Amino acid sequence: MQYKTDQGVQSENAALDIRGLSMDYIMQDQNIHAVVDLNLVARMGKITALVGESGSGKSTVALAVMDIQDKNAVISSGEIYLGGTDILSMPKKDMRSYISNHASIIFQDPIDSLNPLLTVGEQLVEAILIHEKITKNQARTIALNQLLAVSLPQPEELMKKYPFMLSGGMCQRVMIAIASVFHPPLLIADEPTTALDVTIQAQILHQLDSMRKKDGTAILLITHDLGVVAEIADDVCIMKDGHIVESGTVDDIFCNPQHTYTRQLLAAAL
Amino acid sequence: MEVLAETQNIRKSYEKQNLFTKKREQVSAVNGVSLKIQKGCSVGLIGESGSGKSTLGRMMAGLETPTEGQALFRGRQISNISLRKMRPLRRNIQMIFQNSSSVFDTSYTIGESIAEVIENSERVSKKECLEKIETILEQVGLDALYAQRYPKELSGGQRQRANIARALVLHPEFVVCDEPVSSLDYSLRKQILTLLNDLRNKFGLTYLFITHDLNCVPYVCDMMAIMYAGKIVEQIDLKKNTMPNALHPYTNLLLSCIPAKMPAERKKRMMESIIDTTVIPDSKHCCRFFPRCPFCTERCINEEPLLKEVASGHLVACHIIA
Repeated sequence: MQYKTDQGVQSENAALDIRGLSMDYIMQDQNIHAVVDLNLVARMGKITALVGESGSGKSTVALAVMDIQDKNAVISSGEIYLGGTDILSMPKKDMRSYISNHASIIFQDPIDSLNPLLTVGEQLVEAILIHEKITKNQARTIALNQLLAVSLPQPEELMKKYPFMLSGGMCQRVMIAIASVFHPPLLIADEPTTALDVTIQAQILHQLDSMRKKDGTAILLITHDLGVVAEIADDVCIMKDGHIVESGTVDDIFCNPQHTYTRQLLAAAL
Repeated sequence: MEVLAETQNIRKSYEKQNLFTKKREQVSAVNGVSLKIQKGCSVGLIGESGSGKSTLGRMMAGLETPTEGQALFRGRQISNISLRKMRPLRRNIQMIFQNSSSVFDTSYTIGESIAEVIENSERVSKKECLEKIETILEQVGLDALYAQRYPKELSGGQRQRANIARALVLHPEFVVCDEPVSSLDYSLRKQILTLLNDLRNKFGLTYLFITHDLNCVPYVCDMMAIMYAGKIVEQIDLKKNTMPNALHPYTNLLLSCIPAKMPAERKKRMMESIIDTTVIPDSKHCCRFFPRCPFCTERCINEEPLLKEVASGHLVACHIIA
């Protein structure tokens, strides 16, 4: 079957290209326009930061790309090109496997996103077996390498541990390991360091940075912390009340902000 | 100057029982800390999670009983006294908790929650009580109408303001702020810190400001104490010294982890020493930071460093430096 594709997108090296996306939350007495006519591009090997306060709709966009938005969130218009194909034009049954091969996501609270009843190893192997038809032993080898790749020490022992035995930073690195098993072209990091210490934050950012350099992954970094953005991002989109009010390279945004809201955000820096 | 709050070689260890073997294990959270806080002087307590900074704060607020040593307030011991004796002191020692959404009872309005605090330690008429609530809400920058709202109807920043109002309504002398801005949006942090500063000047408050974010420190603190694994490793008087003067390798590690303010200021980090963060040596006779320290020597493994004064108002516990 042929889905809506865009050759122009691929030539531009964009892993994700969102065009004119509008989303509404259908509530009992009112509809909330969470995202309004949003355009966003995440290029390979670059970190694109989507910045906004809580309630600005930045997480809603991330969930829509992964097709895991709430039931009452309705996409009213727009196109989401993931790896050159519009996922919204696909039938539901193909969509899930297509997205899981092209994008993955890590969330704010790493301990909550892992299954507390399974060991780290079981969860990693499970993720690998879903993607490829190989034996459990082969999957284990891949899993071990994957843990080494996110610089977790003693992977053999770590595989047997449960999430509650690990610190928040280690859990987040396990999440990154699971999310990057098959080197997806796009990684969405939804506030990956908000719940973590400054030292751990530096580690995780370093991890994301080396990932995009090594694998050429496009990273969509969702955050409210402009410090993180200044540290690591290449392109920045500032979001407010569902609109993108300003976008540009990180130097443009920080050195030459145009929109009043961007200036306010920068002025609020500590 | 008068010393308001003080700890003397205070220790706290928690007992953990293994579910299956029933073996008891001692986990020490705070490991011999002596800290003096002078009236009107705000101390920032900085450390990673698990360094014992919150436990120390709770002991200084009289919410936790130390296993050894004592916490004093105005020269009086507060750690092992009866609730009846504690009550008159309680109004002078308050705490601002990190998570403002779990501070308030969801079935009480903000006004009712604050009224409960007032009624606990003062006999006031309903009218006076309402007036007090309105005044304090206005002082923290909320409209008096918010007294009738429920906690869920407030945004995070508003709720944190109400949380501060709850702690300050009795005009305490000493306030322990446990990560007051960590759960807030980036754009709100500065607002809340400015508010804390204004209130401090207005009421002459003394803060113990617990945080893991070194960025906040210059805004509210006159002194900072860095904690690692239950001990204070460095103490700097910020009135006499500046932050970049920090000497302890751990403080420098923390400083190097602060994200750049501008994209042009990105720098290389001390990545090697950050890895393996969980290793804390069991032995009592060593520097607890040595497994992560890039400058570790033989002496660090065999002898515990003590806090020594290296300059006026600057104490460091490190063999290499002092």
